[in-house]
Amino acid sequence: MTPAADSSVKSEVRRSTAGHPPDLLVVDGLSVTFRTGREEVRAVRNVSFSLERGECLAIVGESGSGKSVTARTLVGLTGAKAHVTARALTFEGHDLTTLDERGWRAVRGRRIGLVLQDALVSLDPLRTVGAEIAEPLLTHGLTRRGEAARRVLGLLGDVGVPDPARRARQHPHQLSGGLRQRALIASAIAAGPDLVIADEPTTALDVTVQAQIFDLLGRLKDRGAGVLLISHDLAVVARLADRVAVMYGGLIVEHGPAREVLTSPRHPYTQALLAAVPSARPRGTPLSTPVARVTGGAPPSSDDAEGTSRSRGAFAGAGASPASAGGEGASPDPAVGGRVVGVHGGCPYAARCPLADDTCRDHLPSERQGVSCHHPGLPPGAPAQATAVAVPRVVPDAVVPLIEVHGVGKRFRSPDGTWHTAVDGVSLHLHPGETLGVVGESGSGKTTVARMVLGLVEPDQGTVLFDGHLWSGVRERVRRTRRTRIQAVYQDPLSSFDPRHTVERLLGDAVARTGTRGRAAKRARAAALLDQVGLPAATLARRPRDLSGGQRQRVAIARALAPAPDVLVCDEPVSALDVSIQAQILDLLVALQRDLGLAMLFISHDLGVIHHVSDRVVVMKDGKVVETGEVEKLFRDPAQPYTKELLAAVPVLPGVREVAG
Amino acid sequence: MIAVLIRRAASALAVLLGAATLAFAALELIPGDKVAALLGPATSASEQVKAQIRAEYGFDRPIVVQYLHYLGRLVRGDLGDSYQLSRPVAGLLAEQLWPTAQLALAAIALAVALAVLSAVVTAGRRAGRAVATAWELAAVSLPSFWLGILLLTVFSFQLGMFPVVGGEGISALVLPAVTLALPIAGMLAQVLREGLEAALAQPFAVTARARGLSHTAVRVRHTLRHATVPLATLTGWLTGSLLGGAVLVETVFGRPGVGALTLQAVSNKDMPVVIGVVLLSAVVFVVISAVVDALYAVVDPRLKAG
Amino acid sequence: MTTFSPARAVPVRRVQWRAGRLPEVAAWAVLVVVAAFAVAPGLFSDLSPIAIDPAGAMRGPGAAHWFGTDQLGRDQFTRVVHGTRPSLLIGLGATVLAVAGGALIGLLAVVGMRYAEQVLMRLVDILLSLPTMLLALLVITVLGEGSGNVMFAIAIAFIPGYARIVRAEALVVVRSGYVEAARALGLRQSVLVVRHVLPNALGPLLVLATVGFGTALIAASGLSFLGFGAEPPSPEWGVMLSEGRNYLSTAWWLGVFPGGAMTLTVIAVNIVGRAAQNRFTRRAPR
Repeated sequence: MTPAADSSVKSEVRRSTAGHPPDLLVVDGLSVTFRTGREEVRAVRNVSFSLERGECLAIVGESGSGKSVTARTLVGLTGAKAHVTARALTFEGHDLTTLDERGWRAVRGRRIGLVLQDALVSLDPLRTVGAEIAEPLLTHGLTRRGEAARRVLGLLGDVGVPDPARRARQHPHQLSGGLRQRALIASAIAAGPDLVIADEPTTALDVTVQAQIFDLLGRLKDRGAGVLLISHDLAVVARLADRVAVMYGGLIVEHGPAREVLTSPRHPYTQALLAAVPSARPRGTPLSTPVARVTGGAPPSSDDAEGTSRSRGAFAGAGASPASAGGEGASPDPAVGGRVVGVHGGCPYAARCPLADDTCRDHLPSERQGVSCHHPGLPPGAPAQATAVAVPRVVPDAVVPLIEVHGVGKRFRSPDGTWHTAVDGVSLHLHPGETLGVVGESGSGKTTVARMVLGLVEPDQGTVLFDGHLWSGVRERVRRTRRTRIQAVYQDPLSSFDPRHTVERLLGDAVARTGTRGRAAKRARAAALLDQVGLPAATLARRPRDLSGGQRQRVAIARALAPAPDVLVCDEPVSALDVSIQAQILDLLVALQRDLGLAMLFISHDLGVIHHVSDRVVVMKDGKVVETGEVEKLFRDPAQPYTKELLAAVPVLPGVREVAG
Repeated sequence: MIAVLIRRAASALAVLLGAATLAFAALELIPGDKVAALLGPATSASEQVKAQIRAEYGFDRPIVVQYLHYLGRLVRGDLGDSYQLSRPVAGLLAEQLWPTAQLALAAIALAVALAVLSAVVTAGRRAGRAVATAWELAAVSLPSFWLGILLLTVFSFQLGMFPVVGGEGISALVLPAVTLALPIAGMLAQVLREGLEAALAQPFAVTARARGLSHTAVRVRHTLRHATVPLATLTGWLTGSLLGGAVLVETVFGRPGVGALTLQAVSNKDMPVVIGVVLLSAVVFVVISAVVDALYAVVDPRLKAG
Repeated sequence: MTTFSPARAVPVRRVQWRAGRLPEVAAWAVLVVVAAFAVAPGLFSDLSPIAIDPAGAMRGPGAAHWFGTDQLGRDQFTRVVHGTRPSLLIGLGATVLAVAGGALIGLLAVVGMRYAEQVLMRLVDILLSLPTMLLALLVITVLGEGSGNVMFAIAIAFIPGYARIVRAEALVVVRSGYVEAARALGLRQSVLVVRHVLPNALGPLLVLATVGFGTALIAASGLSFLGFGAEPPSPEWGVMLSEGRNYLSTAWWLGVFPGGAMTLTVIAVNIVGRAAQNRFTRRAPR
């Protein structure tokens, strides 16, 4: 089977070294189809790639693109409902397609290691870290029980876990996110596999920890292991990948050497993805590609095709993995795959592509020089089209701030009865018409500050003033009448909608607060709001759970705008969205802020996003403000070591020198 | 740790005090003369005896004093006398406790065994789960008294395999235990299977499979333990509730025990005995809760304080 | 007899039911027939449920008497049909009372004052620590016997379970993003409760009440079986079983049919309830 497959493998990016021992991994013409009832979802279509020892291939794609299913196929864990076909699927020259369950078991863990997203749930939370790391050793009979403990300590040391003896006895929840992820990697490499598949290995981690994990994976590569990296984030894989394959709708739409793909992408989708990375674009330029911008996702297809939103929560985020993680019942999100990989034969990206024509809609493009596209292009003259160059809004000092936060502090009681300080002496102010970015890693207290500004959490110390009046520590009755002037947009819009209500009802309730009466008037106002956020009036009749993640966030923004607020508080509004959708939402927020003259408090963990939208930035760590300053100055010349560390850890695309373009 | 223990003890005390207060309130709520209620409907005691009881119980004193007096007697282990049997309630309960405990323990062991077997075999398998869902549904829908009658008809009257009435020996325990166990087993199996399937859907189960573990090994080494927490909760609660179930099952099978005693007491309005059973069941609840709590800490390190 | 209270025992999450729609259709068919029995028993049998015919006593099931006759010669099929109404009414009444009481207490605990919540939920916890059956028997001891009292007893015994569920559901809603969003629009507490908390918490409660109805049916029959509820010669199913129990050695049919009717009804109720539950959990984004 292997030699016969050779001809088609040639189409894959081949390295010049011929007459070599066989590639570590050869995948040729891989297709995976899920059958659920009458539905058939083609999650992976005719995917080919290969991987050598000491090499890293990154498969990049949004949720539902088929990247995680591809990864699962390589360890035979796609589940009973999956139908897998391939012209060739060989690992170290052995045919994987002929393996039975017993044969797979000999491969899994021993020859191929798998690292999943969040170690808090990817390691068995009820067992000790040591037991989890020893398991592959014992399962494959590589160590006697008595000796396992010593090997575990060695492995923990190898992956850079300090004090391994203590850590081995602890449970995953007692370790920090970074240490936990290292332990997960230790368990994946314990039996010395030649191939490590890392499926979104850093997605739930803070940037500084992310960088450390990539260094560790890089060391594995240097030692001669092949690394297959699965990610939704192009910028992140740039650190490690030698080659990149971009997947969309179950197809590899573009592949090639990492530097080439990342600096001169030729598929419109790859171009859109790269353009959407905020840190790669100058401030003031739109992130989304023209079509998405013009239509604002108005044709249902443009936003529909995106798939449902990913949450950054514990066991989501790995593309198809959350539901399909169900070991046995793996299946991609049918809502996504079903629509994208439909019955029609055209290019799956046609629905979202600015260049799409009838050929694209009717015929699946074949692959030429690493790109599967009817109209492969050169990269658009990137920043050249940045007509609206950022004009820093100068806020006169004399203007009275809308929001003044003075030395607020808040403690919360943990379930075990101890107190922990979430916010400690934070002061900030927000002027009319400006965007203040608050950036920090998880646990920095940024969300608590946002909730104090919203009047949902009372500070233990300090005060919050709104428009010169006391906002904290006042009676709810006093606050209630002014609440409409501060509105919020959250990370997970779905949970902020009453599940029984349609969009019309949701927006109708909101506009009623500002005096719009009567069904027709409310309806007209709601439709106008939808238009403002780029959604068609037909959306009124739908329920939020039937909308895509991007559409939901637009509805959430429309509701926030309904009472014509002065202040918009955005708490991680784009963190759960795929990067190209994230771009559309950010563009929308920036445009609305500019047009309506809103004051915006923008909370995010993502420095790129913060840089893109903010006028001034507050950096938080452990409940305290580390540094405050005008955005360009702070990014160019950070004063505090912590800010420097954060900035250094931001993934940067090759060719883009600085975050500030 | 000590703080946790103190909190647990306090909440256990609160349950006991609450049950005692409830029983006291029930006694107060009985319409008509309390002395008559205590003496029972059948007795025609002389006024002199009634006056004596009134004084003894302190019915002529304010209600708060009565309540404190009543609590004081409970603390000393004095549950009063059964008017019907003219014996101390505490002694009666102690006598009847063992047959019921035997029945309850046998039933719960059987139920857990059935549930684990059914759930481990069928969880996450499509063919198995249809069968499992069907039997679980039937089991939880069965009225235990009817199940008992069916079993008696078939195995005792038709086949003659087991005694029709009585409480002596293992063979007399089989049918009542099965009757009590089957509906519980259905419920436990549902919860356990759900727990197993939830655990199998977690990323760590994929990780374990990716290490080369077999289906069965993943179930036994990883997911079963995760399903244990909801199972233990429900098992604990059900064990406590068996005292109620025993009333019906002991009646159907003519077994002695706390259930039979309760039925007799309710029928005869023998309030001291009913109150005694209520308090006993509160004690059982407190003890089982403590056991289940201890089990949590062993099974799930995340639930440990601190 | 632990089937007594799944409403509070089983942490009702996604009880999955994938064996197609067939069981649900069959269950509805059973419920329609049962409802017809209860509403118009005369349509299904011309005989009287209490008329005695000593000559025709203890006949086995056959063409003349589908379910056989009892020791007094009464037609068992007629009695089962006529027994539907008394058997269902107690359970139905008890469920309605318990749901109403539970909803009231649960909602009060959520939207009321802090101390009200403390007191109410403490009380509920204490009641939950006692087996439902025992609680019902305690109430019967106080109130006395009879169908009405049995209904009250079951209702009181079930209230704590429903109260706890309503409180949990209402708390989820109160802490939800959409109530927060509504608060941010400046809505007052009373409007929030009426517009969001009530409707969203009551939905799951009604679904649970369906399954709880099955449990209440069993409880009611059980208490009648013990001799506290309906009294002979009423054809209530529990009473029929209690009478038939004495003739098990000779007349198996006296023990089989009334209980079978009860079990079939409860199974049907459970299937319908769970199907509703599944539809509900699939809809809600939690």
